[in-house]
Amino acid sequence: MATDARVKDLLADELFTRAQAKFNDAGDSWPKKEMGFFFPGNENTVDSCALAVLDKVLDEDQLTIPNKKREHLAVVIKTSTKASDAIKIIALTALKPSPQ
Amino acid sequence: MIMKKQLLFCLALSLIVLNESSAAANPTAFLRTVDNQTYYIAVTIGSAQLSEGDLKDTLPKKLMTGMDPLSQYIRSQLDSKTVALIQKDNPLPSARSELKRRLTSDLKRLLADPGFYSAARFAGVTLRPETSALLAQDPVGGRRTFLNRMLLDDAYPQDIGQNSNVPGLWDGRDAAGELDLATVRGMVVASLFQKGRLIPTTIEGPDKYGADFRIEFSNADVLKDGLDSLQVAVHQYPVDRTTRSGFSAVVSTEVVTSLAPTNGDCFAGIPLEVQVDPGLVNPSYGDERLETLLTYLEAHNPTVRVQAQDRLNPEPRTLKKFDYSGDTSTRFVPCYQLAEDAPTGTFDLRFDYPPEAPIELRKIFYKANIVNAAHAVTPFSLDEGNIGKRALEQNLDVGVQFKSSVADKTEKDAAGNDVAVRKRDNKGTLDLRLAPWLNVLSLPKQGSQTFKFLTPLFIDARVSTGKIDKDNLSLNRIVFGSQFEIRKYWRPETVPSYHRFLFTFSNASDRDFKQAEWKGGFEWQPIFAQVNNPLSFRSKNRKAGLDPEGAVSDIPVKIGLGYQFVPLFGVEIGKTWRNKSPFAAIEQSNFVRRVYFGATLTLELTSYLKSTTKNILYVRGEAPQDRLHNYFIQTIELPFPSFTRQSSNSAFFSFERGGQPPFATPDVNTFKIGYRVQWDGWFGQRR
Repeated sequence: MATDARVKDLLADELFTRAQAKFNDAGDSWPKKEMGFFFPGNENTVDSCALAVLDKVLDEDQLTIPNKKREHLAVVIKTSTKASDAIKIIALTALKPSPQ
Repeated sequence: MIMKKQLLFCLALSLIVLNESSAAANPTAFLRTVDNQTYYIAVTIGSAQLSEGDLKDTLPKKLMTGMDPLSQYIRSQLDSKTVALIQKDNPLPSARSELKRRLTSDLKRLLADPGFYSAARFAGVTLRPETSALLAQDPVGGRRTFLNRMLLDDAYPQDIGQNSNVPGLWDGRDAAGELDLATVRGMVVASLFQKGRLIPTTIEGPDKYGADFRIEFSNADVLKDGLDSLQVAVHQYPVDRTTRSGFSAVVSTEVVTSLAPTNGDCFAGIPLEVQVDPGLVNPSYGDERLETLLTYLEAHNPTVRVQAQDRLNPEPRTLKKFDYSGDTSTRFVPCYQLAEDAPTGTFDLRFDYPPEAPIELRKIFYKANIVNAAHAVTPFSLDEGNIGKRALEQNLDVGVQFKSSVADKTEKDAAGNDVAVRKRDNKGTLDLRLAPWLNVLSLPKQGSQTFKFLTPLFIDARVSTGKIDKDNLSLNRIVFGSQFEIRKYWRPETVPSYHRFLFTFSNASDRDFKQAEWKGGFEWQPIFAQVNNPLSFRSKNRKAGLDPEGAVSDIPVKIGLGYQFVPLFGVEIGKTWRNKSPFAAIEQSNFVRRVYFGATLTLELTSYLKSTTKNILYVRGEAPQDRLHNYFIQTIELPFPSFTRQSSNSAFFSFERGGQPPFATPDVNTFKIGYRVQWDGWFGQRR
C-alpha cells in the first residue's frame, strides 16, 4: 500500500540508483534535501525520478490513475521541492479514490 | 496557599526528574473519547519495544561475523530469509529497510525468550549496574523481556539505540503470589498538567483498546483550545512488588491531521490529511476514530481566511463540498476547493474548526507561502545568441540593450569629395522571446525516459531603434513559428546525458518584412555528462560548523568552475517568399537550403559571473557565391537576485560578429550592454 514509509523506501532506491554520489553525500538527512540537490537545474530528471516512484507504487497497489494526475504530480514536484514533501506528494497522489 | 504552592513545586520537580529518565518512544498518553463529549487519557507504558529505527546499519554485519558466543547464538536463531538478506548485502535503501524489518522481528522473538540470558553467552559483555541489578532479581513475564532488551543493548551499545529505560507495568504476578489488577493500579500515582497548571484527575482501569490505565478528568474546558501543552506525569507505577518507576509524556491523539502539500490528486485544491499515526503499534482506536472524523468533516466546513503577502489584512473565503481519496482504515484526504478565487501571487491560508469539533480538529491549520504551480527558472537557458534557434525554456524572455558599433562611413568633405570616416553608432535594441504555451504535450509514459515538447507558437525577435541601415540590420530579425522537441535521456542522473532533437517550422524576416522566408528545420544537440557540469551540479551542501549536532545546512556552496559544452548540428529547408531587401548584395535562389554546425561553451566562473561563447558556421545552398557564413557571439552575464520565484534577471555584455539567416543584411560587428528579464511557469507548463 502507498504508505509514506513505502514511498520513502522507493524514492530512496531511485535516488540511490540515479544520483548515488549526491545520495551518499546527503546521508540520513536525504529527505531534508531539495530534489534539485540530487538533480540540479534539470526539471526533466526530477520528473523522471518522481514518476518512476509513482509508477512503482501504483504497480504494487495494482492501481491506475488518470494521466492528468501524473502531469499534476510532475508539476508539483520540482527542483525546489524537498524530498520529504515529494514522498508525501507521491503517497497522496497514489491514494485510492474513495467512492462518493 | 503556601502548602498548595509547595505541592505544585514538588510535582513540577518530580516531572523534571522523571523527564530525564523517561524514554520518548515507549510510554504513550493518548487522548480518547467514546462520545465526542467526554475525553480521557489512555496511558500505555509498553516496554522493551524494539523498533527498526533502533537498529544501526552496522548490526547485521556484526551479528554475521562476530565470533563471540552471543553473536553466534543470535546468528543461529535468525530466520533463513534474514540471513540471506544479510549475506546478499544489497545496497539499495529499500533492501536495507527490509533487512531491518526482518531483523527486528527476529530479535523481538528472541527478547521474548526467557532463556535468552546465560552466563556463558554473556561472558564477554560488560553489563550496566541496573542491568545486573535486574538480572539478580530473575524477573519473569514482561520484566524478563525488558531485562533481555537491556542485555541486548549492553552487548551491542554501538549498534542498537538505547531505548530500554522505561520498564513495563507490573502484571501483579511474581514468585510470592498474585495481586489483582485493581491493587496494582492503586499503586499508580499520576498527574495531568496544562501549561504548568495541575488538572484534577482520577486513575481508572484499562480501556478496550489495550491501554494500561486511564486518567479521567471532568473539566472539559481543559480541551477548549486543543491539546496545547497537555502533559502527563506518572510519578510512580509498580515495576514489581517493591520497585517503582516513573515518566512523563506529552498528550497526543492517535489520529493526526494536517494540511498536506498540493499533489497530483488534489492539484488545484487544499488537501487536509487525516490519518492514523503511522508509528502506532496498536491502531485500533484510530481506525474507529477515522469514521467519526469523516462524518464530521462531511457535515462541517472550517472557517477559512487567506492573506496575500502584499495585503495588510486577511480576507474570508468559503469552501466547496470536498472530494476525498484514501479510505477510512488508515488515512483519508479531503481535497477542499475555495468557492471564490484565491489571492493572486503568494498567500497564506488558515482553517479553523469550531471549539466543539472533534479534538483532532481543534487546532490552527495554517499554510504559508502558497504559490501557483511553478518551478524555478532553469539556469543555462539564458541564450543571447541566434534568433530563431535560441532555447525555448521560458514563457517570456525580454531584454533591452544598448548597442555601440564603429564603422567606416563615407562622407563628403568640405571640397565635396567622398572620404571614409570612422564613426561610432549608438542604438537601443529590444530582444524578445515569447512562448505563451511552452508545452502542450503529456509527460513520458511509464518507464520511458523520452520527453516530448510541443510549443505551438513562439516569437523570437530582436529589433533596434532608428532607421535600418547596413550597420545594424542583422539585429532587426523577427522569427515566429512552432517547435517540437524530443529530449531523449540515456542517463537521467545527477549529471544527465541526453539528446535533443528539435524540429522547427518558422518564418524569418527582417524587422520591416523586406525579405522573408518560411522554413522547416531539424537540429540535433547531444549533451554529454562528461562535458555537462554547470556550477549548480558541483554544489555541496554545507555542514554547519557551529551546530553541535553537525547538521547539514541546505545552503549550497558552489565549488570550482562550472562548464557546459553543447555541440549542435542542423539543417534548414524552405522558401524565400518575399525579397525586397535593398541590401541583398548577392543574388540567391528562393529555395532555401542550409546546413549548419557549431557549439556553445558556457563557463561559470562564480555564481555571479557567467561567460557564454557560441559559434555557428552556416553552409548556404541557396547562395553558391556566398556559401559560408559564420556567426559568433560572446556574452558575459551578471545574474541579479530574482524579483519573484518564477523570474530571473541579469545584466549582460556581449560581442557579436557575423550573420544569421536569412542573411538579408550585412554581417554585424557590435558590442552591446543590456539588461534581461526572464519569466516562466505560465499555465503551469515547463520544458
